[in-house]
Amino acid sequence: MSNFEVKSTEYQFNQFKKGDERSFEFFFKRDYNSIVGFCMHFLGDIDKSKSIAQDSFIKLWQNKEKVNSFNGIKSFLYVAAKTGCLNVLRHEKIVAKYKDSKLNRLEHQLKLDVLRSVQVDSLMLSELEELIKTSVDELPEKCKDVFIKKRIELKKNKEIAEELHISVKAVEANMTRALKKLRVKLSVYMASF
Amino acid sequence: MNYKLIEKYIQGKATEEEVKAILKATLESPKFKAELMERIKINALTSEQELDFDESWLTFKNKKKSLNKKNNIQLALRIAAVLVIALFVGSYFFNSNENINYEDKIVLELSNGTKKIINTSNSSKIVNAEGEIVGEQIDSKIIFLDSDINAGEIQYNTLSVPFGKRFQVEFSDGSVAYLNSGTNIKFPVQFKEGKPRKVFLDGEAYFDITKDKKHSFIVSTNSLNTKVYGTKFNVSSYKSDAKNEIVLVEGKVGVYKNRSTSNNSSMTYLKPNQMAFLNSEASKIKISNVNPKDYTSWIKGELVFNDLPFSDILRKLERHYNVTIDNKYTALNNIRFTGNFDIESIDQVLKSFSNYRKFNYKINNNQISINSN
Repeated sequence: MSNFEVKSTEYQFNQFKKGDERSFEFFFKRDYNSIVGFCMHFLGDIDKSKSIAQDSFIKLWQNKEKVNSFNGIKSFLYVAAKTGCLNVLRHEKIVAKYKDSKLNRLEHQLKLDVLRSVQVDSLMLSELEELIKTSVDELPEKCKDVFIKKRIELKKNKEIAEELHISVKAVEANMTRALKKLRVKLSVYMASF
Repeated sequence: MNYKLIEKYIQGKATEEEVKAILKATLESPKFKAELMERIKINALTSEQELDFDESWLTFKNKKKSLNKKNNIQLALRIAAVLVIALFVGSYFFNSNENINYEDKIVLELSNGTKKIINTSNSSKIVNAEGEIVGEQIDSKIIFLDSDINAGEIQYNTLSVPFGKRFQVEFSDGSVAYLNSGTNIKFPVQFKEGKPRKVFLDGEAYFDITKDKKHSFIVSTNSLNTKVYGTKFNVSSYKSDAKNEIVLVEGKVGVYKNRSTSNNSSMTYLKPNQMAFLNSEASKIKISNVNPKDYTSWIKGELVFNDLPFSDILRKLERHYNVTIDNKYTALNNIRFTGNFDIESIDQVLKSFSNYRKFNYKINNNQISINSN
């Protein structure tokens, strides 16, 4: 039994440019959790991360006409989130995560360095996506099913569990496994950036 | 530095000692620092937080709203302009059509057989066979008034909604039925005290039934009947589909086969988010769990296909777009698709499908043919 998500990306993008809220919802659904996840790596604070992600989408809504391609949406969001995170890291006190204050400072600096080095342009994202696609094909069957349903069909863990007749825990485990395997593959590629 | 330790650090699970070792290494080896930074970057770009979509989306919409106050006035003016044009164009087409052709019109047939074409860009009074006012039509809705005019026999009206159109009717008890394309519904102009409220359906309708403990509401179709006292549910029973589906959104309903009586022993009860269906008249009523949204979003003009065979999708497209589709590429029929559309043209819809499974299609007015590549 095959299953496809039918809605051309071209169409979604055109609607987005016209300011159609439903297509905006599509992109929100697709990218919001990823943007929050991105911020979490640098801020470690869920409320601040959510707030930056929300602001990034507001910025996107206000700057629709400046986005020129389908992939441009994602890179716009990451760039906005990057700026947001940098502002927080620069202006707020260093979080005392470790007892050793030197470690706190070092880690803070490392985060700033990583953030500054993040260059998200749409070319890089589309290549990344292409690479993810080919890498996904090499995943074990269950991992692959879970990954596709989650990332491409944008389904919830619970829905995926029901469709594949596995537990929600197993969905999470397969997703973690898929991401781990993908990251190993991707790190080779990313090194060239 | 071993890979597992780095991974542990990135996931925030490393002990302070381990963190110390890693951060120290970044000071000693620029090469290691570069490598670590790459890994953090990849993780950051590929991870996501598990969050409730509805809540996040609501927060966003509220933020956007507080920002948009100014733009709203402009938008309202624009919509008003479009409406004025739509009214103008609509009435032009209506007036220029002299021949009475009921085929692609919404038609109300009275108990005495008189037919009235409903023009959704106007409003009008609805009268019964005796010429008394029994209701009112405003745009895409008819409201029947609750009165005691019809003291005698039950008078039935029949509403027919053609392919490509949708309509709403509010019965005399305040219950509302949303009618999908290609639907016929027969109902009493006035429900009678002491008698069940019974309507007859061929097609698809979403019912929002007014509570009345004393008078059950029965939706009767070709093969299944649904009995309720007050609830929300969708009934899809096109004679042409040979398929009967009843999806419950809210409350409780009992479903029974047309040929059996409505006593409790033959009744199948549904809970919200369940669907009762009958594939052929001979089979038993089956129940499955569903997402009601998939079955009710047509009210808002959306076409939702959730893991549906292509052949079923084509029937829905025919009704929605008022077209006839001849599929010569029969191998497609059993392939299942998931997707949703709303304002797309039939051409855009078919194009999207053909992107996933290559096929050719030709559109000639309302006739469409599908061929293999």
